Amino acid sequence: MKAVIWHGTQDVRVERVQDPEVLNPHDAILRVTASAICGSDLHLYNGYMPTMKPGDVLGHEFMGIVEATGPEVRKVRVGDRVAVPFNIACGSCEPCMREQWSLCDNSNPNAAMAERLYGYSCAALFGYSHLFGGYSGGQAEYVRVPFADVGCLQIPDEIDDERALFLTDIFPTGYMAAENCDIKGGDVIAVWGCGPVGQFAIRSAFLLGADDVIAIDRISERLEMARNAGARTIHFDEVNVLDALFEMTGGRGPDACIDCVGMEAHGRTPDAVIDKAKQAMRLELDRAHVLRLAIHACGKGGTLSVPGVYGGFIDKMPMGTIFEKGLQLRTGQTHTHRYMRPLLERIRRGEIDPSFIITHHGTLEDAPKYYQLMANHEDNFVKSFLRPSAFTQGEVSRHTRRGQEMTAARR
Amino acid sequence: MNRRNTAFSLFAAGAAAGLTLTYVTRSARARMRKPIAQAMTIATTRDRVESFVESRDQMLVALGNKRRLAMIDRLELHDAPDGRGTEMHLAMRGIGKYEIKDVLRRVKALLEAGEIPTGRRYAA
Repeated sequence: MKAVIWHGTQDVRVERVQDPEVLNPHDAILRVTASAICGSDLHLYNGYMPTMKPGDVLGHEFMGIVEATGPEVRKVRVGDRVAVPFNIACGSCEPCMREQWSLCDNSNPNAAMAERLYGYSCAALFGYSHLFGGYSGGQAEYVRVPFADVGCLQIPDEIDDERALFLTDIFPTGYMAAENCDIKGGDVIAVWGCGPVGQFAIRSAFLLGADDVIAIDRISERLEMARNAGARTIHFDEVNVLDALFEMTGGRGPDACIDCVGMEAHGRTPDAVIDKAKQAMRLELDRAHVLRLAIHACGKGGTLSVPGVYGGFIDKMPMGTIFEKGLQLRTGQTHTHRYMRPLLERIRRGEIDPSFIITHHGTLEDAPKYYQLMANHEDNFVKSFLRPSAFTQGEVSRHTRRGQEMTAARR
Repeated sequence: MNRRNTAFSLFAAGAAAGLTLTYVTRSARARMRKPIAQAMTIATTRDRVESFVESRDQMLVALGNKRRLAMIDRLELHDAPDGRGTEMHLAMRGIGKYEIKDVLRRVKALLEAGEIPTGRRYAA
């Protein structure tokens, strides 16, 4: 099969590799019909996540059709069209039973490695380094899905791939970020980063009843997309973000701040410059400029919600500010399984159409070019939608028509 | 004078290396002699865990190899509070704490999830 293979920092290639097989009784093999590049894939692309090995298959946002199942798979059947959450959960350990799916005890075969770094291991992830299990990802023609009955969500025919795909990560991630803010009527939510997760956090905040959302970024097209959702915007290269937020909230500050940026934050303040230098010298893993800013900007007694990925250690953490203002910090990998079904219902009811985020339709072969565009913020890139070439050339079905129409409309 | 200094330096370096080697060997031997205890909570009933550990075949799968059976120093099962499952306390000699945790993790995965997870894409 063809797959997107990581070879090193900023070096991904489409190559032929051996097809996946059913290895465990709860496995399924999926023929991938659609996948995407996530903002967090850029941390791998840019070489900031440890324990990647040349030859690893990337991709944790994918959906497809079940081709084979293991002997213990009961609910999922060959031929089912399913979306698969980016984290892998066994469904039977204590965290899974508490619906904290991203904390699954049993899915990470390299738990000892994660335990050394984090104290305890969290769930494994598809295509996201050996620290998180070393599972092959879904930017491929086929993928092995462990615990298929727990992860696979059947997608009804009336929902096309473009609307269903983002249930696998960015939509639930943005939604959980907003839900973590415990939004009440009248609340003002500030969202840093208007990439895909930020866009879904903005829309989810409104869905959950926020009165006002303020979106912060420096890329005009992304700010425009945020304004289309009803948010007010701040271009952080043009104004002082703290002053602007103070003024826009009548001096109260946002009731909650969402950091959708994570470990590769940009900024021009001294702390951001020092972070960049230390990260380049591998003296610090994460550039936490946005997190510090959000802590500073957040109103008294407010909530910090952090869906942006952080990998290890940060310094200059303003713990005193968190303490003195009585802030609450809520974070973690998304419990994707918990949100997929209710969010699918919202899509079905027409409350939201996640395909608004797609700016680039392509095939698997386009992935290296798209990684580059995404990393450099070129060509107004926000989100890709990738079809394996075999699928687009040989199989024109109801699942592709909408994509072709959208591509034609954009041209 | 110079020759005396060199001889003294060589003697000091040799003595330091010898002491270090003795310390490392002794502490390694002590580690081998002293059992290391680890624990894990398994979200299932005590009866199920008991029948698992009593089955030699199943325990061999969890231990990884037959020699490790003899390394078990102590194996205790306790009820976890509030019906949260069964605590398995395992002390073994001759292997490190992370290896013991891996044994416990395999027991837990087999009992809870019914399989040992693997990140491989195809059979080796």
